[in-house]
Amino acid sequence: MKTLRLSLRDAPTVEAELALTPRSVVGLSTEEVSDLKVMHGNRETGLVDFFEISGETADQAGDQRIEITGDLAGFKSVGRGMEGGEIVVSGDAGLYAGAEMRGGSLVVDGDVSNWCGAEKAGGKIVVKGGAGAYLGGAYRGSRSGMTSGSIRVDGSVGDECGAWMRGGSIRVRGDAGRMLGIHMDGGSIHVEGDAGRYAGGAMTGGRVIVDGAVDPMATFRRGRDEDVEDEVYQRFLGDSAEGGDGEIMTPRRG
Amino acid sequence: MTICLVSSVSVAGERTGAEVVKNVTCPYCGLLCDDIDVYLEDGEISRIKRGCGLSNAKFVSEADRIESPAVREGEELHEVSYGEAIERAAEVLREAKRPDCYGWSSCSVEAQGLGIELMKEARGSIGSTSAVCHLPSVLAMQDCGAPKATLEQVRNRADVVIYWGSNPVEAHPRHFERVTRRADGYFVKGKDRYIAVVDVRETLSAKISDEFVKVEPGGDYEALQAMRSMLQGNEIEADEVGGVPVETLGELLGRMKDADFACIFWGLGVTMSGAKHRNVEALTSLAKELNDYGRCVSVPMRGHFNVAGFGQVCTWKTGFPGFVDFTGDEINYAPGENTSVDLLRRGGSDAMLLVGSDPAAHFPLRAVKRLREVPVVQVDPHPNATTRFADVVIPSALVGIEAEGTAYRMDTVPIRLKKVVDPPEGVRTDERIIRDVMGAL
Amino acid sequence: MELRIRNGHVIDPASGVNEVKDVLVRDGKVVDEVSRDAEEIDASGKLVVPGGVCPHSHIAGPKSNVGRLLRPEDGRKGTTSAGPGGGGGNFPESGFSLPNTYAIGYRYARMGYTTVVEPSMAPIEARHTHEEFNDIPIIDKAALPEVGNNWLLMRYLASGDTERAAAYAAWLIRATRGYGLKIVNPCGVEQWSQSGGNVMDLDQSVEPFGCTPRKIIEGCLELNEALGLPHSIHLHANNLGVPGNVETLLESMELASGHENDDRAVLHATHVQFNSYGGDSWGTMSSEGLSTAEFVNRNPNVTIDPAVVTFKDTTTMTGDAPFEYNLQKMTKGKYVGSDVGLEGGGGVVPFEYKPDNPVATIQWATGMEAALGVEDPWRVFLTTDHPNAAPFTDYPLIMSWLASAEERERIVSRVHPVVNRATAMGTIDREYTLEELVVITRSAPARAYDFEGKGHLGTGADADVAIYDIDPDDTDPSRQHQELRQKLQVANYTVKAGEIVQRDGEIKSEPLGSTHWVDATGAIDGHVWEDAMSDIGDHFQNYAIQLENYSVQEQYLPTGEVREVGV
Ligand code: SF4
Ligand SMILES: [Zn+2]
Repeated sequence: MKTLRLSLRDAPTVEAELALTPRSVVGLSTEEVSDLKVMHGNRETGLVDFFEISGETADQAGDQRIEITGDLAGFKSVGRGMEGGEIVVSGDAGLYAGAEMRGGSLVVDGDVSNWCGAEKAGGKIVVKGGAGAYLGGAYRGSRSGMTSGSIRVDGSVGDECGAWMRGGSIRVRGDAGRMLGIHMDGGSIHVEGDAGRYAGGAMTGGRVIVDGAVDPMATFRRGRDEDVEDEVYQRFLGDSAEGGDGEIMTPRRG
Repeated sequence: MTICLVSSVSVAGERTGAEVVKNVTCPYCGLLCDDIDVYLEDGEISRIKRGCGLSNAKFVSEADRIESPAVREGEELHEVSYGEAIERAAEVLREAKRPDCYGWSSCSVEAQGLGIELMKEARGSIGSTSAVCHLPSVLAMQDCGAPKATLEQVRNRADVVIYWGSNPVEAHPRHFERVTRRADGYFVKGKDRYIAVVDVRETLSAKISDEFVKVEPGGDYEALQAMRSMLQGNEIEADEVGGVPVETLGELLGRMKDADFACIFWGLGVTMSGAKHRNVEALTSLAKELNDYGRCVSVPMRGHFNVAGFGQVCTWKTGFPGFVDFTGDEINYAPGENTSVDLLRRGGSDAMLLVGSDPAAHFPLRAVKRLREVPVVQVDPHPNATTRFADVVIPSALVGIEAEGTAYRMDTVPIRLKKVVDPPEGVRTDERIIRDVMGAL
Repeated sequence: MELRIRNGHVIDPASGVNEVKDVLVRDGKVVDEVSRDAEEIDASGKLVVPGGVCPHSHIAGPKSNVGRLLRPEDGRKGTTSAGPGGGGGNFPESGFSLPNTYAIGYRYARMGYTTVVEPSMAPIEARHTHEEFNDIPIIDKAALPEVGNNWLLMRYLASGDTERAAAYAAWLIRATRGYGLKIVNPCGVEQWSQSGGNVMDLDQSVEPFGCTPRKIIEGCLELNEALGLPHSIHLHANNLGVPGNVETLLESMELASGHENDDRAVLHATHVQFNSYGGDSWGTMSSEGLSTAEFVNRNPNVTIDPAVVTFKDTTTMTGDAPFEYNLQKMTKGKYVGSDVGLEGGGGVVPFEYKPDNPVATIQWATGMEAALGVEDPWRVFLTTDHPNAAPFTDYPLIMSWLASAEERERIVSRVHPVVNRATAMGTIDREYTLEELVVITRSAPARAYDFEGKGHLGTGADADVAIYDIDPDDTDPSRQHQELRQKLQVANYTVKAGEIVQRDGEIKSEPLGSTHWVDATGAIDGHVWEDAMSDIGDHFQNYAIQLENYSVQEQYLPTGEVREVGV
C-alpha cells in the first residue's frame, strides 16, 4: 500500500468538485497529481491550488491510499465512483462522498453531507460523524439506490436514509431522520437510535432494524417475532400500499 | 372567413372615451383565466370585468414600482442609467465563480428561456420559486409519475372532486366557478359534483364543499398510503390514520372508487408539510391506481401564474425542470444541491441574480444571512424586502399587462399573455433586460 | 453563399441519379451553376445524398417534455458538454431516449438528417409544440394535430357531415399551425376518458357521439382528399400493442381502397410493428409483419413505417392513453397519463426491450419483417417511432440490419428462441441496397409529405445534403454492415439550406430551420365555413380557454412556412 498525502491549505470560496480517486492518481508523479483538475465553481483549477501534496502513488488503484487532512465540507464528490484502494479524510466531507462507489474503502472522520454512498455498488464507507439526507439513496428519478457494500455512520443521519435501496447494509449508531428506508427493496438498515416519522414508507422489500423508538405506519402489520443479536424483536411487515414485503424490526419492550 | 388568428381585439367600450380589451389573460395565479375584459381610460386601466379580487388588485391597484435602475454605493442605492446597471449586472455574473439565479414564476416563458441561456453563458445555476411551492410535486413525478389531465377534462367529466391541502377560494378564487362547482360540463353539471376538501383546518373552501375531512398536520402520507392499501383490499387495523378515522378514509375512497371520473387537486398543504414529495407520490399513486375502477386524475394547484412555465422551458432546453447547474462541463441536475436556498445555506453560491422574487422575505434566516453577503442583482417590477440590500436593481415591465408572452396554466396548457398598456417610461421587459445582460457579458 | 460539392457519388433516386457528379448550391437551393468563388467540398470517394427526412418522431410538445420530466435518469445518460471538444453546439446536450431540444437538432444533423415530423400534437397544447420547435436547431419541422378523438369531429363524422368536418379540420390545422391529420386510436381514447375502457373493433360505437373508428377513418380519408392536403391521413390504428391486432390494422388499411391520389398514398399506417401481431395471448403471440407488408404490396394507396425495436432502455409515449395505462400495469414502474379534454389524451411509460424476452424478440422481428417485406421501398419509411421502439439515433443500426442478412442471422441466434417459432426472421434473405436505403430515409418520406424541396437534389431542391464516408462502388453493405453503420451514424458533412451545419460530428452552425404548416381553409365554401364556425363557437363552451386565445399566434412561428392548398 502506497500513501499519498493531501493537506488542505486553502479552502475553496465556493464548492469545488474533487474528482479524486485512487485510480485517478495511479502511476502519476507528485507534479502530475498537483495538476489534477479541480472545478472550483466554474473555474478550472488544480489540486495544488488547495492542497499541500506529498507521499507516493501506487501502480494499481487497489494499492493506493489517499490521506486527506483538513475540513473538506466545501468539496463535493470525495471518493465518488472509487473502485478500490482507500481514502481517509480527517475532517468533514461535502456532498456525494463515496457516491457510486464500487470498491475500496472511504473513511471520513467528521460529518458528510447529502447523498453519501448514493447508488453505491460495492466498497465500504465509514463516517465517524453524522450524515445528511439520502445516505445510500438514489439520485433524482432513479429507482435504484445503493445495491451492495456497506456504510457505517457513528452519528445520526438525515431524511430518506436508504431511499430506493436494493442491497448492501447500512448501520447508523445515532438516530435516523424521516422516511427511513423509503421505497427500499432489498438489503438492510440497522439504526441503533430512534427513527423519524414515516419509516419504511412504500417499502417493497429488505429490512429496517430500529433499536430505539420507531412508529410503524398503519400500513404495516405485525409479523412473527425474531431474535436479532440476542434480543427479541417485533416484526412489522409492509408497506401494504406497495405489496408489503418489507420488514421493520424493533425490540420488544416491557 | 372571419376567424381571427391574431388576438387582441379592441372594441368600443360602454363608457365614452373608454376602450376595452377582451379575453385578456390574468397574470396572477396558476389558473390563468383568459376571459378578463380590461377597460382602459387614457391609456390606463380603469377597471376589469370577470376578474376575482386577486386579479383586480393586480390589474387596477397601484402597487409600488421600482422607478429607475440603481446601483448600491455603501448603504445607499443610487439611480444610474439603464446601460450602467446592465454593465454592473454583467460584471457581477462575470466575477462570480458560482453565480446562481432564482425567481421566474412571474415572468414569461420567453424570458425564462433567455434566463436559462444567460446562466449557461455565465456558467452558473438557475431555478425557480417552485423550490418553495411545488418542487416536491416534481420530485414525486420523477420517482413515480402521475395521471394528469387538462382542466377541460375535469370540467366536462369530473363527478367527484377532492381538493387536498389546497384552498381555491383564497388562492385560486375562480377555480370553483371555472372548473368545478359552478362550471357546467358536458357530462356533468357543476352542482351535481361531489366536492370534498381534505385539510388540516376548515378553510373557506371546506365550508362551501360537500365534505370536509380533517387530517392532522403531517398525517397526509399515512392517510394516503392507508387509502392505497384499502383499495387493494387490505384491512387497516388502526382506528385512525393521520388523524382521520379509518371509516372516513374508507368513505372517501368509496366515493372516488365509485366515481365515473374523479380528480384530486393538491396544493401546498400536501407539498410543504410532513412527508412533502412522498405525500404527492402517495396521492398521485392513489389517483393512478383508482383507474382500475373508474377514471381518476390529479392536478397540482400551481400558485404563481407561470411557475409551471419555468419547469416546462427548462425541461425542454436542458432536459431537467430547473435547479440545473452549468458550472461543470455537463449539465448537472440536483435539487437539494442546486436549489438556491441550499446553495446559500452551504455557501455554495457567490452571486445572485433574482428575477421576480423576494428571497429575503421567504428564505430561512441562515440563507438570507449569506444572501446579504454576496452581490445581488435584482430584476423586478416592484421593490421588496430584498431590494433593501440588492446591489444592482433594474425595474421590469409587468408581463401580461405591459408586455406579452406565454404562460403555462396549472395543467400545463400554454396560454398567451397580452399587453394592454405600455410600461412606465424607461421600463423594459424581462426579455429585453436579460438579452442586454447577456450582450454585456 | 455558394457551394460546390465536388466529385461525390450522388444517389438521388427521386431524380434517377446514381453516379459521380458535382452538386451545386446557391442561396440555399440546388442550382445548375455556381461561380468560381464557390466554397468547395471534395467529396471524391464519398456518398452524397439528400438530407434525411424523418416522417414520424416524437421530438417536441407536452408528451416529449413530460417524458423528460419523468426521467431525469434518462437525461443524465446523455449529458455531453457544448462547444469545441464537446458536441460543438452552443448548448450542452442531455438525454438518451429523451434528448433536450438542442440535442435533438444536433443528433439528427450528425446523422445527416435535416427534416423531422412530430406526428402527434395535442391541439390545445399546440403552442407548446411550436415553442419547443423554436429551440430545436438546424432541422426543418412539421407537426400533425391529433383528431381521432375530437368531440366536434366525432359528431360531424358520426352524422356523415364530411363537409363541415372538413371545414373544422382545416380550421384546426390552421389554428394549431399543423401540417396534416393524425388519427390515434380513433374513439378509443374518448372511451378511455369516459370509463377507462377502450374500443376493440372498427364498429364499436362511442356514446353519446355515436361515432365509430370506421366512421372516423373513412370520414378523414374523404375530407383529407377533399381539402387536398399534402400528406395522407396518418393512422395509429386501434388495438395497438395487443396480440392478434393485425386484423384490426388490415381492416383499417382496407378502408383506403376507393380513395385515390395521383401523387401519393391516401393512408399512412404508422409504427405498424406495434399493430402487426398474431395470436390471441402473450403466450401465442407471433409476428405478422409480413402480412402487413404483403397488404402494402397489394395496395399501392397505402404506405407504412415499421418502428423497429433495437433492444434498448427507452421510453414509450403515445396519444393512446389506454395503451399506456395498460403498459404500466405490466412494467409496474413510472407512468404519466395525460388526458387532454375534448381532444384525446396520452401517456408515457419507460420501457426496456430485452433481447432475452420473448415479446421484445417478436416485436423486433415484426418491425424488421414489415420493413423487409414491402417490395417497393417508396412505400415504407424508416422509423423507430422515436422514442417508442428506440431512440432515433439507432437509425444507422437499423439500416445496417436491413442491408445485411448475415448480421440479422447473428441477432436471430442471440435473441429469445421464440424467434424461430413465432416469426419469419429466419426465412428472409432480402438485403436493402444503398439506393433503397436512401429511398426509405429520404426520397419516399419527402414524397409522402409532399415536401417539395426535400428528399431530392434536382435543380431547385432545398440544399439539404448529407455526405458520408462511404464509397458506393467499393462498399458491400451486406458484409461491411458495421462500417456502414458507423459511417451513417456521423456524416462527414451535413449541409442545411446551403450552409455546413455539421462536420464529422461537430456542430458548425445552428440556424433555426423552418416550421412547415398548411392552410387549407381556402378549400372551404363560405356558407359551410360559417356554419362550422358557429358550431366551433358553441363547442368552445366546453373549454376552459377562450376561442380567441386558442389559435397559435404568428409570434410562435418565427420561421414558419405556410403551404396554402385549395386556393
Ligand atoms: S382565479 Fe387566478 S387567474 Fe383567475 S382571475 Fe383570479 S387570480 Fe386571476
Ligand atoms: Zn408515434
